[in-house]
Amino acid sequence: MLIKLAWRNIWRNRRRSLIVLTSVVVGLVAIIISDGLSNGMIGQMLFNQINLNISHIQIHKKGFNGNKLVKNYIPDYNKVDEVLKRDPSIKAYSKRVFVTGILSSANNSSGVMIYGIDPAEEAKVSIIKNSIIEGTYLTNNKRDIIIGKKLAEKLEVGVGDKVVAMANTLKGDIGSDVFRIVGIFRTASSEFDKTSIYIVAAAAQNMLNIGNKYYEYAIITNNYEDVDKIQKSLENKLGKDYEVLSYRDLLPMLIYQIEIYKETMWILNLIIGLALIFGIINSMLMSVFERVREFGILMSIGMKNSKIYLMIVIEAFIIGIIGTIAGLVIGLLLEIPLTHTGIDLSIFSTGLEAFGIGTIIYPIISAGNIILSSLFMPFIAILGALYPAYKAIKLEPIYAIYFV
Amino acid sequence: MRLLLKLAWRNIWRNKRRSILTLAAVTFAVLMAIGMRGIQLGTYALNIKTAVELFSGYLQVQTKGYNETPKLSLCFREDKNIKSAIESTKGIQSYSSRVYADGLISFKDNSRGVAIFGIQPDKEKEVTTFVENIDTGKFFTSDSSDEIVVGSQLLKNLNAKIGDEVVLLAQGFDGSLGNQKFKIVGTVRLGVQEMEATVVFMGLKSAQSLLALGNKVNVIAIKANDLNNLNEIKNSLNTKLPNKNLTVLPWNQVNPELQQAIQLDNISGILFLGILIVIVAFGILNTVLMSVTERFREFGVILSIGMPQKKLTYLVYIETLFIALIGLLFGNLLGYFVNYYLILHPIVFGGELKKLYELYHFLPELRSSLQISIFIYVSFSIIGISILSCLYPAYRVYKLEPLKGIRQT
Repeated sequence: MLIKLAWRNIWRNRRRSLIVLTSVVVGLVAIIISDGLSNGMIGQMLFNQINLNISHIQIHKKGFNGNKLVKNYIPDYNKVDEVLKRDPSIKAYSKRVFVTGILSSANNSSGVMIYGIDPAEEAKVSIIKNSIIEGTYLTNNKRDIIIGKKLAEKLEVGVGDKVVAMANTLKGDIGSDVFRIVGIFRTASSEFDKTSIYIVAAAAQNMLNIGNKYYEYAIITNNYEDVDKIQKSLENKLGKDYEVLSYRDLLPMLIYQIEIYKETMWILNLIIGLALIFGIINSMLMSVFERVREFGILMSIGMKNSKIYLMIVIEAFIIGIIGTIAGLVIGLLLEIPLTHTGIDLSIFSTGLEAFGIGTIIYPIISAGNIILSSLFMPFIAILGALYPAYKAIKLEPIYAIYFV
Repeated sequence: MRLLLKLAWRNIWRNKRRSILTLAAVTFAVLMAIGMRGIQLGTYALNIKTAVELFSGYLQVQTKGYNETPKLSLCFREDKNIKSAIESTKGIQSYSSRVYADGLISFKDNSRGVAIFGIQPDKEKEVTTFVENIDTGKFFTSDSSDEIVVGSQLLKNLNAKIGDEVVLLAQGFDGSLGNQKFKIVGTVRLGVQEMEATVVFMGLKSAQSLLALGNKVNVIAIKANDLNNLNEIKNSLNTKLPNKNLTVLPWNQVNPELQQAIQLDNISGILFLGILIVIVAFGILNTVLMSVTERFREFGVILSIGMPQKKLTYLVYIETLFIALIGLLFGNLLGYFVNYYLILHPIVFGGELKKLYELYHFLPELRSSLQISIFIYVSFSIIGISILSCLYPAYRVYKLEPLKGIRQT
């Protein structure tokens, strides 16, 4: 009976119900969008690095990450290849030769990190192929090199120019080779662009005079959230001669930064949450106060106080639920297209254009937060109805009728 | 008009409950927006200060073109005229000279590319904090000692320990290859992993002799007493500098990545502020709409006794604007107190993040700001959205038919 009454009350004065309803809908849409944005920005910080060159998991010889020496090559790369090929949770991997050295042009020289790669394999694990802004990506030509935009500026070279790379060989003397720049890349990290160069793996092996050896496996898994599990299983399969590191181990400072960012976002979302709770409560307060006279009449014709109170709460709850459903639908309809196209922040500020791909934010919808706030919403609507309903039933019916 | 103002004022206080709810919506909107923007701007200011004080300094004097392509050859003589120009500029607290060159460090059979900085430890302390960010060992104290301090990761990579002797190799100003033995006496942390793996600090004079530079330097780092008047200092120093090849650059040109990162964050902050403003705009719209439609019966009566429809619409508008202005006042006052409180008692992140502080002297905290622009922008945007959100309720009043109004429930 009460539920029926409440339902009819809602539709009796549509204007009033719609106003409360919009405040719930706007609130939920705002939560979905701001949550998606903050997840997207946090993801952005992480994925920029993961896609750049870190990947999900790296495998080296034990101790290589702390001390990147030429002698610390992977003991038996055939074994690692076998393990990785059999593991269904691994999407792609790239074998790299890695060594620090010096790159010189006729004008200048700079300390660099030299990556020797298989161009086709590397394109599957990192964005380097798509970051080329001038010239082309590496082919299998052993004389080819690609370098970052910043480094090219520092060395004052361009596509087609010759550069000399130098590095310590296994025996301790200096190996060097001449390369021709075929491409220049620009990534979201100018530090990376300043210090990293790519050549073909065989060319790096030649320069270091090490034969068919590799230093690093960069692995992309099917789902980066399972990384801990996959890391454990790889550790078990490979044994103690190898180190298996996840992006969390490789980017400790970034993980800290993300933690800080998460807390900041939490506080911003808290402020937004407070504002929308206040909005819902405010409109609910007003809409129930408006009806005190009506409750007075109900009381005078003999309806019990507790029943009136319950009726008001049920009304608020129903409005809350309808608003939540509408908000969910509208919010997701707005957000889902954005997760594909992204929001390009550089259109808001010309200063950011140089920042490259780092300025496009792809919102990420996280089911957990949305479900939680959806469950929460109807109760916030009730919260706004509690005080005025209490006030209404405390009044003598005759005063309630005269209440303005 | 006077009558309308008077009527509006009395209407507001006639039904206090209704007015207070609208007032609360506006006050709350202003408070939330000021609070949010305050935290954003305050935290940026704190981050900028921490970052520029760690290494780059507030301003740098360099040879033109050095910033784009740092080359040893783009150096200048640090003579009396330059010093007196810097010292006589208002707002400059301290300054310190540096030399920078790429080189190679070798320890046993192990060598790596490094970035060599020649600095003046006693003066550098007055400008930046990295000298005090010593991780292990100590910092050298003399400009001309043969002691060096390296990034903590570099020490590990070299497999060396404090007290070991290393050889540094670098191409000098005259093209000759300088090489010399140095003793590692300490390691520093700089918060950027790449730097920790490549940075070597030595005395300015030792660096000048290793690089055959004479008494030339590459950079003079300057600390100002305030982040906000850097442009004035820059301009006044620029005109005083005796050598026309020299230029003064503020931190955001020396370190454009920091500037961009903060800009990026700022824009996302504005997006969040936008979401907040949409919410509070709806909050204000809803309360105004409800308080107007609630009074349709009253308006119907007024219209029936001959009030022109236009005047009634004005009346409603004036009432809402009154409430909005009062709300603005309260909101700004409360916002001022909240932001003031958050400046005195910043939100400090606990737990794991404290490690960060210990490692990098980087403050994991959120601080607020009392910049006057926050209050002005927020006030204008809230008054703007109040005016906008009143349009629809006012339109409803304008279209109200007296009889329908009277029968309204």
